[in-house]
Formats: sequence, structure tokens, C-alpha cells
Amino acid sequence: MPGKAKRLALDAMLLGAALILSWLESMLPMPLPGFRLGLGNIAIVLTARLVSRADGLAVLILRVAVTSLLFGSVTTFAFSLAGGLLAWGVTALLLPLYGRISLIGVSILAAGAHNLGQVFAACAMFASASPLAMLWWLLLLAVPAGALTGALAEVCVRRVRGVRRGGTT
Amino acid sequence: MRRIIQQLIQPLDLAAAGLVLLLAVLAALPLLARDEGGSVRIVYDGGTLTLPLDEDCTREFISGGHTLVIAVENGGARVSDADCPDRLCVNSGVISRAGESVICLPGRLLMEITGSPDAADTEVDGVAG
Repeated sequence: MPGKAKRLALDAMLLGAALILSWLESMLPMPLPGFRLGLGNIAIVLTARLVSRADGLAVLILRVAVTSLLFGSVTTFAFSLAGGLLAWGVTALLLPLYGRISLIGVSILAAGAHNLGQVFAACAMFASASPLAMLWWLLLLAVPAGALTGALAEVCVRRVRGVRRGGTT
Repeated sequence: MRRIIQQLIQPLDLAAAGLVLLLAVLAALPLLARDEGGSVRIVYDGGTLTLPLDEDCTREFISGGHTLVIAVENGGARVSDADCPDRLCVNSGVISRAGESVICLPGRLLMEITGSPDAADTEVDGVAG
């Protein structure tokens, strides 16, 4: 765990990255309704890995709040939070296994959890089981999407490791 | 490229991918035995409305501060127009089989196909007028 000032600076920087990535993603055209790459997840996983899991949660909640204010609505806030919290929970559970699992595996499972959370939120909101019909292709796409964001996060962690060591000594 | 990927991937990553794929297959299984749909049920801010699929019609819904137009034609239903920001509901296209649905999140509207017309008739009676 880095010192207080450094921790704050890291969190703020990673939140900035999360917001930029979310904005970038909102610019990308998506062929399938409801599917997202989850680029913002890169910054959340990085925070959870480089700073702490609790900081990852804080960055997640702030990212969802700010993106909903900027691009979304109350409804999208609730949905993003439902998916995001489940994804963060999976990430927090798996990070102690880091070494045997890389951020690629973590992100694949987190992406799956995110989709489960959103579909269940839709079921609850409309009191209907119909949204479950979207689950199979959302989960199928969670594998490549999670692998892509996870690989990017993994590369970042390995690059940053040296920088962090240099900074703390 | 291959070496870089091999350096990144850990054994449990493959298990993670396998688990999510397995869940995807499990989620797809109940959909294989889907019937032809008989009616379309629309859940929106103002309530719930069920329309038969064999009668073409166009209805306007005001929900979540947005206006959505739903068209029933040729035994299927689609959101033909909406003033929501992302228009994902319009891009979702036509649905016609039982269990298929279209969701508009900004408009807080769900449109789903329900089973045969006989199964749905308990709900249809209020709609005829």
C-alpha cells in the first residue's frame, strides 16, 4: 500500500483514466444492442491491483456516478452500478489468486458477472424473465471482451511495476 | 505475438474462460424449445399492455420521459421509432418468438413476446377496445 498522498494521486489518476475510457467507449459504435467492451474496467482492475481493492470500489462508484451524470440517466446509473458492483466483487475475490490467474482471467469473469448483474437488474425492473434470453450471447461476448480489457490491464501492471518500485525507494 | 500471449496467460485464465462459456451454453439451453409467439406484452411507465401479433397496428408510448412507437406487423413486433438518446431499442429490430424481448433503458420500456394467443387471452380482454 503506497503512502497517503501517493495513494490519492494514483486513485485520482486512475479515475481520470476510467472516465476517459468510458467516454471513448461511448463514441464506439456497437453492433449489438446492450453489448459493451468494458474499457472502463481496465482502470478499475488496475486500481484494485495496484492500490487496493477498496480503492477499486471507490473508483468504480465515482466512475459510474460521473459517467451517468455526463452521458446517462438515473436508470443507467442503477444498471451500471448493478453490473459494476458484481464485477468488482468477482475481481476482489479473485485477486488473492493473482499469479495463478492473470488479470485476463479476472476480467473475463468480471465481464460475465457484469452482464449477469445487468440482466438480473433488468428482470427486477420489469418484473419479467425475458431479459434472460439475452444472457447467452452477452456471456459469449464477455469472453473476448474480458480477455481484451484484461490483457491491456495486465500489460499496464507489468509496465507500472518498475515505475512504482522506483518511486517508493 | 504468440510468445507475448503465452507470457501473459496463467492456467486459471483458461478455467475462467471455460466457466463463462459454460454459463453461456446453460443460458442458451432453455431458448432452444421456444414456441412461436402469440402476443406482445409491453411494460412501460404507464402500465402494461398486451397486443395480439396477428393484428397489425402502431401504438405510441410515453415512458421515462421519451416517446416510443411500437409497430406490430407480419406477426412480429418492433420499436419503429423512439426519441431516446441511444436508439438501441430501434436498432434491436423485429421480435416474433416467445421469450424474445427488446428493452429501452432510457425509456424504461420492455417489449416481450409471450406464448400462444390462447395462453395470453386472460390479459388481452382489456385491450380490445
